[in-house]
Amino acid sequence: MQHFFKVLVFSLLMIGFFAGFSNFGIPEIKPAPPPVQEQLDLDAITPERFIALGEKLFNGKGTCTLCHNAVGGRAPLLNQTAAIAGDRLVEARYQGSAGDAQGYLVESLLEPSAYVVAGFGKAGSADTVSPMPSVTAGSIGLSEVEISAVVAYLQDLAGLEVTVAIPNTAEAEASEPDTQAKGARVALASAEEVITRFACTTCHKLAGEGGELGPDLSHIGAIRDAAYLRRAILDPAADIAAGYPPVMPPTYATEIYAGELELLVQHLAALQ
Amino acid sequence: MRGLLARCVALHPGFARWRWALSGLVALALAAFVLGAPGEVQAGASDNAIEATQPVAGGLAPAVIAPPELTAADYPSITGVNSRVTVWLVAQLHLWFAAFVLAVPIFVFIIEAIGMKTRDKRYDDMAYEFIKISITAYSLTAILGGLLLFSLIVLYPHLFSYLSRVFGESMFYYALLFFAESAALYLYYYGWQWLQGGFRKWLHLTLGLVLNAVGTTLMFLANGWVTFMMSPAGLDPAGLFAGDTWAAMHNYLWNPINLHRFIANIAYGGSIVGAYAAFRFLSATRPEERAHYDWMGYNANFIAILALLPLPFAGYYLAAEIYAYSQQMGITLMGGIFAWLFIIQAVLIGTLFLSANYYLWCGMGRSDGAVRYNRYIKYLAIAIIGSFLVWFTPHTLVLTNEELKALGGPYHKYLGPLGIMPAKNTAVNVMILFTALSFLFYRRSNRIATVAWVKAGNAAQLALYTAGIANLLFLGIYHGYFTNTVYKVAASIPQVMTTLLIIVVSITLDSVMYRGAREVAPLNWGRVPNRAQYALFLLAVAFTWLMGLMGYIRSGIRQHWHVTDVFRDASPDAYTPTLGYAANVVSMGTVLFMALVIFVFWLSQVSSRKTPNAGFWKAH
Amino acid sequence: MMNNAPLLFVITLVACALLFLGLDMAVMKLNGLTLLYHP
Repeated sequence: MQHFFKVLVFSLLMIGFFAGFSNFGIPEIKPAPPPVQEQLDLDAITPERFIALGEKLFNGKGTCTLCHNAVGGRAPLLNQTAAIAGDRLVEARYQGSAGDAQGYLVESLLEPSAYVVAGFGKAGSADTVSPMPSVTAGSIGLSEVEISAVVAYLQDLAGLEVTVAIPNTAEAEASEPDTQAKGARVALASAEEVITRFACTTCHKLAGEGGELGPDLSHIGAIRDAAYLRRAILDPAADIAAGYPPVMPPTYATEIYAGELELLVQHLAALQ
Repeated sequence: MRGLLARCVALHPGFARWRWALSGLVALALAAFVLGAPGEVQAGASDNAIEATQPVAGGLAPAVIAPPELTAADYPSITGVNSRVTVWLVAQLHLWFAAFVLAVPIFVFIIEAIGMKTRDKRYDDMAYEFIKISITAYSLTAILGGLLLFSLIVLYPHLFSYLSRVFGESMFYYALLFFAESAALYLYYYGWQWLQGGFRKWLHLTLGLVLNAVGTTLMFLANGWVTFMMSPAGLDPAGLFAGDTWAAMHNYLWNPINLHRFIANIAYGGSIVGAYAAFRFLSATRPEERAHYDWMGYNANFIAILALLPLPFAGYYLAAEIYAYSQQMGITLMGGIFAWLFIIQAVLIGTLFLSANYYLWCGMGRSDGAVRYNRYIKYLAIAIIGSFLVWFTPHTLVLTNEELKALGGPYHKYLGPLGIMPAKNTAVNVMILFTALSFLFYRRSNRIATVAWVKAGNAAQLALYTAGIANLLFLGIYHGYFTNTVYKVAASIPQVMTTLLIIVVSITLDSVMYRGAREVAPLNWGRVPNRAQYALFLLAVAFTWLMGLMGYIRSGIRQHWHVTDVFRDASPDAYTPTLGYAANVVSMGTVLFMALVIFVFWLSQVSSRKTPNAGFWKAH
Repeated sequence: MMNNAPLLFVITLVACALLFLGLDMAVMKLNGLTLLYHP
């Protein structure tokens, strides 16, 4: 029984030591709270506030500084990127399709592998594939407006004039329909309702009616299958139809309900 | 099959009776399969709440499962109960017991086989005593598993509902396998004395194999659910699950976790039975008893160390795979506040290595020939403590600017260069090598080699270790300080291979050298100081605490996600707690676990006690 | 020769050093790298 208590005291002492070291032996740091999904007040936005928003995204939600920092050497520093972006467009190793420096910056966020800075590629890829994660998906999940804000911040950081168009309320609404109602709205019951709601015909022709910014979808089922169409809606950048600019918002994946997506895809695939 | 059956019947007439019971069991299991056809299980587990907020396709496409978007109101709360701490503690206690219960049959199986090979009954008795301890722990594991299930259903209904829809089938098979596990375990344990000698012993060993196969499958299934939450697979880009359970199960981190847990369980199980032996040794009164439990404690420690040596490599593989899965998750793991957690881990693993070595050094007192090696011990101690200090040195600890300010700078002023990963890798490898050397000395302590080339053999051993350590230092220093990240990471592989190669070659060489060696004198089992038993206790406590800590980080790197990047945790507890807080929860869990384990140890003693009760029962 | 321990030590040391060097080079090569890094 004496040994029983000795062992007990010994064990408690050791556990106490481990706990004590964890509490007092290392600096106490309070981890940052989970990011809050904020609403942008685009009515009152000014260029300064837009740049400040970009800086906040750059250091926070965008998690850019995890790798783009002076300490780890995991990714290039971005202080001057906006200034030298124009030079990169003419380099032989540039694989993208941007026309100017600003386009390059947007593209570098969406398609990081279009230009990989020497020494920062994925191991074994000879600097042709970037290890950078998608900034529009998952926990980063930047919207189109937020990407513009980051680009504005990068331009300001390099000491350049900000050329990114600052969105007004009308544009923002077009690109992010009803973020507030997300999760609460009633699912749409037909493909036609889905097409109306997501305003597909703003850019695409359907049954001969609609815009010309994107490919004509009137007989899309004849050349594309359901799997392709599904991917084209969820990840528009995956494959851009020849001759069209890569402008389709990548945000539908987070807005369209699964059932609606299937309705839409089956409807389009049937358009022979 | 028929032949085997006939042979069984011939060997043991009673088997004919068993056959009917067996066919009954098989029929029951088949009926369960037919009734619980996968489709029905999924339908039964579907949850209306999810469908109301996030409708899934009806009719047109196969049923897809969408991760629900929750708000804080979707999490039930019970007054006075902290949901996160409750689930955390229950899950951790379940895991500790499960690790113990799964590990014991693995080395019991091996010890039994050794006993059969050597025909030394001591091994068989020890194996039986080990499995006896785990029997009571087995029912505690099941009880805690049930408690975990209920706490998840009550406190996190949407999460559990989502997971059970994704993994419906596998959860059903998991429950079924539990029957097989229990049957195999009870037959193995209760049949131990019955199935002795010749064919029966082989039958018993086969039962042990079945028990281990079922147990390991159970763990792999549960690992699939856990790793799905870390690195979800089988989902389309929008996060919808289309119904391929195997893809979800076979996700990116499944096998790294399977390997890491399998090895760690063995080390853990060894340390717990070591604590049992130490406890019995301390309370033993008769010399034979002390000798027996000393021997048992030595073997338990041996098992724990054998499994501990490859563990850092399995852990490194897991961490590398986490980086490969998501660089973001990798940096969350190794940078920011979690980086300090690895400093705590270093303290714990340093404790493990030191106490295991200390136990070996104390154990050399059993031999009269150990004096020849005593003078080397202090150098071993210096090398191990030195490596520990390098490993313990913190590196950059930066994640956000706020944290940077809180720390006053990214690098430690003077010790910064020692904090980088290559330095730590080198230190761990050196520490492992010196532990192997401790073991080598222990093995030699009671023996005198009789081969003619003893001097040559010793020179070769010395050269092997010297060249190997030089190679470790070259790889660590050159690639650690003069190259880039890709080289730093790549150089760790030849380091690991060097260490493993040295251990294998030197132990092989030594066993050849000491073939036919004569003993100095019979080993004095039981001649070991009491403080060596406290080293065994420290091993068990440190292991338990360390497992709790690493469980916290494994779960914690998901941050505010139930399922990484797919299913957000909207509960009030979605934030990452401070390390101090986590350490306190882990400590609380360790105290609870140790209390339960001591109870289990005590129970296994009680069954053999008898109280004279003359006069209580009426005379016939 | 079998009894000349210092000589044997040196021979084994060189042999082991070469063996480990070969191991390092082989492993680095398998990873698409060279043992000595040229920036």
